[in-house]
Amino acid sequence: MARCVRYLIRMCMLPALGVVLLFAAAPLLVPLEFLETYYTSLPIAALAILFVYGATATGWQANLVLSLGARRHDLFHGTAAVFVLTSLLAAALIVLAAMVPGALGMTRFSGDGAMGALAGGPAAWPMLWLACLTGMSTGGFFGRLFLLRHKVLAIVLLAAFWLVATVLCLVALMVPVAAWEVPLGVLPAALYLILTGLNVLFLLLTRRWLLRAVVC
Amino acid sequence: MTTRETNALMARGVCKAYGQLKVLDGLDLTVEPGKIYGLIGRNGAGKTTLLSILTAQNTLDAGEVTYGGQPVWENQWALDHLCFSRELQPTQNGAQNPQKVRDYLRAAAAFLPRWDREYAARLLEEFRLEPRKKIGQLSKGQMSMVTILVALASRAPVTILDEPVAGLDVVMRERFYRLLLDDYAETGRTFILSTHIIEEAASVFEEVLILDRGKIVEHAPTEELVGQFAYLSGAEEELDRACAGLQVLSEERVGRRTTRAVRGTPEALEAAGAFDVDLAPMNLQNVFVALCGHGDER
Repeated sequence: MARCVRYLIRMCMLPALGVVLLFAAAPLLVPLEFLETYYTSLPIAALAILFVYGATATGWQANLVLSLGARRHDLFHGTAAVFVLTSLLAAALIVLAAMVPGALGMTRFSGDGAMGALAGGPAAWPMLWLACLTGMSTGGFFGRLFLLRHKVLAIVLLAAFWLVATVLCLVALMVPVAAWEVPLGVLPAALYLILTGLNVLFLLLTRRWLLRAVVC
Repeated sequence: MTTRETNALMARGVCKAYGQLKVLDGLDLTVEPGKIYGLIGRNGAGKTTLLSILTAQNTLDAGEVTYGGQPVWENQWALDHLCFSRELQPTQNGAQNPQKVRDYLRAAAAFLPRWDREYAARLLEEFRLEPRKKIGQLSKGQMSMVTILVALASRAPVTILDEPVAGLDVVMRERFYRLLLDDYAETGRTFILSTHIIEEAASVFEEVLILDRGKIVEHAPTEELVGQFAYLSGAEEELDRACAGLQVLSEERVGRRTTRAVRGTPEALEAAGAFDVDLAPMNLQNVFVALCGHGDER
């Protein structure tokens, strides 16, 4: 499994975290008025970045790794490990990035807005990590759908997912934090559980080799 | 000698279907170490499916594939001895393949335990491949060069190439055959090549595997196989006498002259030549057409 983990760290985790870091560092170069809005949107951007890298890890990267002689068992568990680690580090980066404006005395990060609340305090950090893991495993789910050539299903599900996600994000950004604190805490967890459940069910029921790989 | 020491790649009763289409049907095959095998078959015969099943890159519906007596499926020891350098795809999910040659080679170096970095660098230079170029931007010939590079630099005891010369010009094809034979002379490892350019590659193959209708219909040393086939031409009555004891595979009439593709032992063919008929040898391509043409060539 070490080969798979090392490879996925180099080809998936480091680039994903690099892009999140770049995104977080960018406002240091832009006018101060932009900061607050920017940091409010940082978790959303991070989720999108994790989604993309999650999809590549289980899509063509997985294809490549298998064609070069990796075991499915190792790839499956290696991917899971790298997803957990990457989402954990991405969440930590978001939390650290949210502290930067205050620490540098540039502006006060108010925490207004639903996504701002996610990075607002230690109580929200586990949910932030879960949200990151959701973004990445959702990407992984769609990556596999494309890999397994269920392209139409993937496109339909992807469109539905992004429609719901966009509506939720728009509503969340417009409504004050207090009203959304509880739903936002529950939302990533619910989404994560549903998608993970769907993911595992789909893969185990349709791909006998994966079932064997997980069990053996 | 233990089973691992024999290191033969074996397939027993392999079946594979895509929906209703049966591609492999109870296929048996033994690939012995230290030989160059040529796998030939018509389009859609299942060559790539067979090669991907032999290297556990594809599932099988029934049967078993072993290497050194061990199942290949999910067996890292066995997988570390096999390298199936697949044809690269210029697109992925409808978009240009964004992976760079350099990244592909890095992945190969990470996963192939016997990867020869120096040799890979030498071949990269020799093929004049630009490492920073994206795979989607390469020509078909350049993509073939990358797969050849990975196969040769893998130093895997069993190395498999699927259509390695597709898209290569004749100079590069000659260079590939030379590199392959040099490597074989140096390492003695097993190669399996699938190709449609049969006659050109025939001199490289030590043994030929002919795949037709889901089964290996012929598996023999190249010269031995080719020596069993010939064309007999002449008047029909004389041909009938000459063909007694021979297997007639196909017949073609031009005016009063008839030509038959026949199969028999070298002695039987020599005896047929004693009649008032013309005896012409076949090459491997002719043999393949005679065995797998099923009349489509006419």
